[in-house]
Amino acid sequence: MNSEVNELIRGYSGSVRTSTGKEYTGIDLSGIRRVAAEAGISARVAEIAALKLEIIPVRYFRNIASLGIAGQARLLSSSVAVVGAGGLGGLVIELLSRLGVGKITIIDGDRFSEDNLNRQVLCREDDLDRLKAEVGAQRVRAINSAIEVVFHPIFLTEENAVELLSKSQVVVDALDRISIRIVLEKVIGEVGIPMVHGAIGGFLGQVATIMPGSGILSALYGGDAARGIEAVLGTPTVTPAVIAALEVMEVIKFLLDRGTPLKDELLYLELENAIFSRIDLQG
Amino acid sequence: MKIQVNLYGAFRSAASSPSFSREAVEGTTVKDLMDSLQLPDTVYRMALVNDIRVKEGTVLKDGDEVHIFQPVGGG
Repeated sequence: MNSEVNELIRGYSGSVRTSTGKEYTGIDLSGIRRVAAEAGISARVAEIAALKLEIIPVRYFRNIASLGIAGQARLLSSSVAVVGAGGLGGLVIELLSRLGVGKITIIDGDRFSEDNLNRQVLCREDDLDRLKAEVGAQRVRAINSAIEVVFHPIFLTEENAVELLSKSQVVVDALDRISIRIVLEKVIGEVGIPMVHGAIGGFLGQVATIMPGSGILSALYGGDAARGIEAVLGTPTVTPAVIAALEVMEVIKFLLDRGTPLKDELLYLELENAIFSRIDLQG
Repeated sequence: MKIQVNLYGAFRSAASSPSFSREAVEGTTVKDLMDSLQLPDTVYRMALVNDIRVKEGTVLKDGDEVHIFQPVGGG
């Protein structure tokens, strides 16, 4: 089976020349699709097999110098849950799809409304009243058909969280209220996976990676009745894009075990003055 | 006693520098410090003392480092 797949991959691969004149051995989207169809495997498995042969799926070529071939393969073997498919979540989903994270679970019971259009990348005028989780899954499939995406058009609760998150290695907090973020922090202790936290208010935002059982977030917010400054400053266009990108960077660092994750500290961003501060935190 | 104060976001301009050391009398609370800086008394302010979130009634000690910023929770 493996040798048959490898032969197919080699057959559909070829020398690829980039716009800057570099050459590498790659396999394009139609090649991956043919391998998958002829070998009876998923496109995701075909891409992983290609990378193991050091044949680069063209769609990931621009990632490889930074992520490495093994890193790209590891991302394709990884599973990430995104809770919330709004301002932060839509952008997180977009980036995870392009990055090539192999399995994505989207959880959100909400539907798009007109005041989402300012910042929620999944929301187009035609999508008003549609389920955010469903639109998110469609977006994933449209960007990267190799990804196995599952969506749950329900809100996360203390009761359903363990089941919804149990198949993921890490969960991205893309929620919009402090009280439910604290619930999420509580349940990651039961599931045993880290949570990448991101939140916005006006042109302010924050990011942190929270390990299960640390209790850092509930300590920071000081209880579930806490209120964020977004109630006053709103959630303008730019802020979610910055915070979502930083959240996905935390996911990359965790999955590939590299860099310096924001553990036990908060990155606090003041976009208006371009000031990013790292603040140590204890639970 | 001496305390180190770091201000963020909208509170940055409450003092001539957003990061400064200040003398304070024994018994000074976080709220006293916030009031002395004329920070607006709303729920939208929070303080960490030595990396731990504290209530505003917390009494400061010599050498404490205080971060004061606005909580964010939107998405």
